[in-house]
Amino acid sequence: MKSSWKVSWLLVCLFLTGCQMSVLNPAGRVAEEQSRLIIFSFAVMMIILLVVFVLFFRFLWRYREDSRIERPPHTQENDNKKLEITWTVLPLLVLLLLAVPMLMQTYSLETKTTQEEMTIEVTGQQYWWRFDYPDENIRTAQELHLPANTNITFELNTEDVIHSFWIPQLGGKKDAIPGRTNELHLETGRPGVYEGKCAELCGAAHTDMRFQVVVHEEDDFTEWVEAAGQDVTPEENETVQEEGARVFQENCLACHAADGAATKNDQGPNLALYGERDKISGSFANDEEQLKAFLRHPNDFKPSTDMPAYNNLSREEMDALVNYLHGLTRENVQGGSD
Amino acid sequence: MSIPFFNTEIKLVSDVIFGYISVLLLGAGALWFVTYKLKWNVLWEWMRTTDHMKIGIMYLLAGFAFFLRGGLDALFVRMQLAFPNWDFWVFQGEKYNQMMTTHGTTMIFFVAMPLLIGLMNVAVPLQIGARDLAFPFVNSLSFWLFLTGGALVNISYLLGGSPEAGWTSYTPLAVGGYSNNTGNNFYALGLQVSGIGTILTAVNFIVTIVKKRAPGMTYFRMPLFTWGSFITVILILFAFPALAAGILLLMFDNIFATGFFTGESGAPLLWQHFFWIFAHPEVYIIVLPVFGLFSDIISHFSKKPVFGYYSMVIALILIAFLGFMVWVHHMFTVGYGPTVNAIFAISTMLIAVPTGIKIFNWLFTMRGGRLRFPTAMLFSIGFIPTFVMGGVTGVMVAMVAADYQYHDSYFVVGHFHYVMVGGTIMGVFAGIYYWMPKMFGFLLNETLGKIHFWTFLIGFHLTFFPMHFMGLNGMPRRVYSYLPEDGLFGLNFISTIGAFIMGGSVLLFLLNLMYSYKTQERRISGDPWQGRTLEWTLPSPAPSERWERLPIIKNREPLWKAKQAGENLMYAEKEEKHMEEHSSVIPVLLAGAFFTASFGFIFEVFWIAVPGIIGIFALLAYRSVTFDKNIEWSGENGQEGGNHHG
Repeated sequence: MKSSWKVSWLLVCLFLTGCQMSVLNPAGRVAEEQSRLIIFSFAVMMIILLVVFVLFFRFLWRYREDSRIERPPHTQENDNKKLEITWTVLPLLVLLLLAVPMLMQTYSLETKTTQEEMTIEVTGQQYWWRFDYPDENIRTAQELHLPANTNITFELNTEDVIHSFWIPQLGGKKDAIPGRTNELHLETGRPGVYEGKCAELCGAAHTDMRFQVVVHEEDDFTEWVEAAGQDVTPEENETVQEEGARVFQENCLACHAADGAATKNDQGPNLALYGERDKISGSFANDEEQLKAFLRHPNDFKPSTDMPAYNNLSREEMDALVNYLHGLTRENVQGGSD
Repeated sequence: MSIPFFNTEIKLVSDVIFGYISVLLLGAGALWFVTYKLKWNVLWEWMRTTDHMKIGIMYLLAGFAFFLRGGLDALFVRMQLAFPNWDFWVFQGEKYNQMMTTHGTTMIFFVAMPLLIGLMNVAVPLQIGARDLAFPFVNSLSFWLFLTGGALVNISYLLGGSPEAGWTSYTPLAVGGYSNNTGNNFYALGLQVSGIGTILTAVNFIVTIVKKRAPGMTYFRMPLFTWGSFITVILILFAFPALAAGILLLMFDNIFATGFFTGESGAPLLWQHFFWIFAHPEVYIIVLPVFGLFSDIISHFSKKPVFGYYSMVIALILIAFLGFMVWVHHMFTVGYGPTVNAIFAISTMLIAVPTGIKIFNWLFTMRGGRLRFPTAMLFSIGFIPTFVMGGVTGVMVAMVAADYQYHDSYFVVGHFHYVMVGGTIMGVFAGIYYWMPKMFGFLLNETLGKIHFWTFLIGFHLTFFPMHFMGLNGMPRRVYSYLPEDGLFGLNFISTIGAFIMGGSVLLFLLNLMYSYKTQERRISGDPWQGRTLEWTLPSPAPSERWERLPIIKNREPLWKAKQAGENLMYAEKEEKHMEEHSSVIPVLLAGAFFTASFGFIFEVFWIAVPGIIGIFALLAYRSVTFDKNIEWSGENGQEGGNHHG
């Protein structure tokens, strides 16, 4: 029963891969323009391919050794100026046809729009992404929250090696390079959850350096910002009542903060509103079972991660910790501060 | 369990143990083969040979051996990617990175390069009527340095880990402890040593083609394979020094902790410039000779001269020239701004024009011909649609704004495998089927050959075609896994199946080699293909004394024209004065000294490195003062004895 379900599921996946390609399924203006350019250049290239293929198969068939077809003198020439000029000039014209929209788009992508826009500082490090919102004064990691229909400038930095910041459905990528700050201009469109990736080899867990992009409706985003900014991280020497918070304070706090307003405890990814996240570390389903497995053996999920294994926690402590993390939701943090 | 080894340690885990066992088995097999089948004195003779044909054959053999290794890496990579969230053996994380790095490095430097240089060694002197290369000793040295470099990169897996920063070895990942330092040293030293050999090869072929053409063989009478090789070696001479300088600095960063490319004090992007100024021309280096080769083969089996010979040559030169001004298209996403990107995008797109000229010239060479389809021709015509597909995706990735999406995704992986496998590897297969009789005096079995071709072609497209869609579906390069919800499983699974078909196809080729060698069912002596160019005037296999007297060339297709006119080729009246170089063991010893020095640097053990360096200089000095004892003059005016300084 279960295996047949698996097989049919795999078959569905097989078919889905054909039609749901993220680059060609844009969710913002930049990605949309890029996908248009991709489809345009693809169409032009298909025409060229067609011409070559037709000539190729025609000549192969007509002039095979045992074909008795006549080979008139003009097919026997060793060169032909007219023909050669044709296939030099025509491709040049085709290239011109491609170059014009390409150049226009290349320049327009790098030009700041006059409209109001939002700036987000992105910092890549082995193997996670930190997102700072300088205007909102909050910070998050591994999950990027954006308002819909907004121009956004990403300022890309890195703490260690070169990373490359890529959200296929929002637009092309740009590298984060030590010693320089790159700017990437994107525009969000419809709300939704999109995948983000590191596109430049950055080490053992390059594969797992993913992040989720959540695009909110305008007011929903404002709410999220407010909730993420609620100070709920326990202080280091504070006595906390709740067991989960205590386990967190004891084991996690050295590296992780539990809210977006925290400025300390930033060695590891910020865990603001962790209970609302779909994925652990931008990759793995954020359910109780997986989160426990991740905490016990993070190295099985992300090779060479800096996070130590927490398999020393008792069952109760682990339950409490996961409960605490999953309790970091808008409702709870707002309620807590009131 | 792990064994300390100088400044690193060898972790004895299953895959490394597997590596050791296979090395031991292969070593034992080789020992058995040499002792019982080949005899040690034959080996000794080949080790010291300075003969271009023997060296060419050794290049092909070694290149093919590395091809099997690089192919095995590829199969491991494809196994790991066959299913979502899959764990195949140990190939996740670092080990995956090691596999994909050695796959790329091996395939470019130790497969594509030696296979082509091997074919050049076999054919170029015969095509231009030269007795040997200009510097036979240097030729032997080039081969042994290449083999040393290849050996260094290949043993890295057993000695503390392979390089794992990709064949591009981007900094700062490849320096300062962000990845396995020993592996990075293996990369730097291996490429440096083999690169010296490659630069020497370039000088050797340039001088040979400029100075040693037979009487009457003007530049515009040279076969196009020789033209392609000529342009390639000129490219090597300009491109490889950039790599040499780059990896020297890389090695300094790693071994002496300088900071050329590190993030704090140096410029990480500087490495990318060094690398791509070399590595973009490199892709033309490995494709131009096969462009020439395909021209020769297509003309040959169409029974027609090549269409548009002059525009073919001009296109080769244009591609080479443009090839040097496009390197920043590998760096479109580093943030140099629209103007820089636009300039390099335009120059990249322009390369499509000379490439298109070549494609149409090939097509029109076939028009009006009488096409025969032996395996060599099948690979050549299989190349045309394949390469055009790689070409059009090449134009697509050149379009900057769109490239921001393709860049560093599987789209690019699909693109460059279409041009490199579809161009270089298919070309090398075509060349081997074509020139087999020139090397060994027998033809390969055609039935096996045709199955080899079709399985290779089908496997190839199954493997690489889906990669374009993986890229468009957001799969970055160099990832060892993907999630079930990424919708990448079907494409990856097809790709893995294709890879195994290709693997089987290559084994079939191996089988064909052994079968045809054993049965010798198609022994031939001279001109099996109704040849047109000079190499087919010689008996097959080419005799060790290539030309008693040099041929006199009057046109572009001397053999064909002579056959048409029912005449024999004309030869010079007397044997001209020429130099012959005896075999020498110094190249092997020099390679050994280079190996020792490199080994010392890799593990930062200077009591090994320093004797190695001393050995290199001592051998060079010895060669310098004794080189005239190793050469002999013969031919007219050549009776003055062996110590003539010409």
